[in-house]
This record gives sequence, structure tokens and C-alpha cells, in this order.
Amino acid sequence: MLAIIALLALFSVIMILFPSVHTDSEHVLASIYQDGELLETYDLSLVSEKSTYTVTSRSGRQNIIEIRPGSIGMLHADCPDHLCVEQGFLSHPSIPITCLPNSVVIELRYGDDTVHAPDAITY
Amino acid sequence: MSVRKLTTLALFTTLAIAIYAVESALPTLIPIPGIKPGLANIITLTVLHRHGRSQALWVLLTRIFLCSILFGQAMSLLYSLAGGLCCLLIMSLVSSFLQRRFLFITSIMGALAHNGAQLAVAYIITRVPGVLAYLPFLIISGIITGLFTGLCAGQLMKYLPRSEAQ
Repeated sequence: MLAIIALLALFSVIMILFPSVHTDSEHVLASIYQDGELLETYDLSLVSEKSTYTVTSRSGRQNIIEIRPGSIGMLHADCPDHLCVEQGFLSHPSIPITCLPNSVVIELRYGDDTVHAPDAITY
Repeated sequence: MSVRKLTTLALFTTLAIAIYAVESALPTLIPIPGIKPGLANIITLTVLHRHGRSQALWVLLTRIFLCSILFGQAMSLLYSLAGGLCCLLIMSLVSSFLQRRFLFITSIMGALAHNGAQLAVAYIITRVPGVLAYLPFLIISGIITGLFTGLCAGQLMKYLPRSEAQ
């Protein structure tokens, strides 16, 4: 039993200290999900101005997400615990920002997919 | 169920609710969903050892439903139920072949089961595979908080008069 616990602890420490994803891409993409549905993806490297994105849940509760140049975070949430707000602003892929009561997830990853960004394509 | 036993169990349930209320008033140290001390499990563990599985189940269910009505919301009930029931199931399995002095191992296994079940519910509800990235953090926190609540329950049982349990 102690061996199982020790193995789990070792696995977790390794997972936390050495995150597996490493790519050459400098671009950080942030995706906003609600109930498993992808609502919006931002390329944080291309964001030049602060903006907000509001997610309204079926029960009418709101999450206000602020997108800043290079980072993203939860500005306000209508939930009782506000854990997602306390998670602050993320600029690199690590653990996602999650608001469990409203089922909203902000996930960051490296990549350069073609995504919605107002000044992404300027010819 | 004798009046004495009913009163004792009701007292335990009240204690669990009070512990839960105090815990939710504490500021969060680590803002990751699912990481919390889980101090109310001290009571579940104590009742499991002193009164057996079915009594522990009743105390747990009463605590979860009352806390959900008093402090929570519909969504938190689902998480609490999944976590609490898995925790009790694993703790009653583990404690049946471990000695009393290894109570902390029972408690750690319970905390791990609790966190695992809650993460599974979080994955089912959000349907974003990214939330599984919380797993290592939840394992570490489960080991630490499980150890702490296990040691607390051990101390509690040392001072709790045995006669009450009969």
C-alpha cells in the first residue's frame, strides 16, 4: 500500500517538474470551452489590445475572461468559490484555468493554427 | 438503532458540518479546483472505525446533503457525492485489512479516491481533456491532506471515550 502511494507521488512529481509538451512554436493559443464546446481560440502572441470575452451559462451565470497581450485570465465569475479568478493570468501552457461550477475551461497550448485574431492577417 | 447511538451519530454529523463550514471560510492557499484540506473526513474516518460502514455512510450522506443545501449549489452536490462515496468505499476496503495504527494510510487512500473521482466528474462535465493535467497536483495534495486528516482522526480516537461507541 505504501509502495502504491510512493509510486503515485513519484509519478506526480515527475509530471509536475517535467511537462511533456515542447514544441518549436512561439505562439501560445488559448481556447475557451464551455460544456466541452470550443467557443473561441485566441493566439495570445498576436493580441495587441486588452479585450474581454463573456461566457454565459445556461443558468444565466457569467464568466468574464480578459485577453491581454500574451496572457489570459478570468476577470470575474458568478460562482461561489472564485477559484478560477484566483488562478490569475496565464501566459504559458500549464494547467488550465477551470471554473467547475459554470463548466468553463481556458486551455493554453503551443501551436500556430489559423485562429481568430483581429490583426492576424494583414496584407 | 438506539437513541444513544442515534444521538451520537447526529452529533458526529453536526461536527462534520461545522468542520466543513469552518474549512470553507478559510482562505484558499492553492487556487486549484479540488485542492482543499478535506477536514470533514476526520469524522467519516472516526465513524467508520467506531461504528462501521453503514453508519459512516449515513453520516457522510447527511453531511453532504445538508452542506450542499446550506453552503453549496446543485453542481457541488454532484462533486461531493462522487468524491465522498468513492472515498468511503476505498477507506472501508483498505481499513478492513490494515491495523488501526496505519489509519493514515487508509486516510491517504481515501483522499486519493476522493480526488480521482472528482477529477473524473470534472472531465465528464467539462469534456475538456486538458483538465486531466490537474491529476499530478491532486495526487500530491491528496497524499498530504490524507496524511493530515488521518493523523487528526488517530488523535481524536485516542481521546474519544470508548463507551460512547457502544
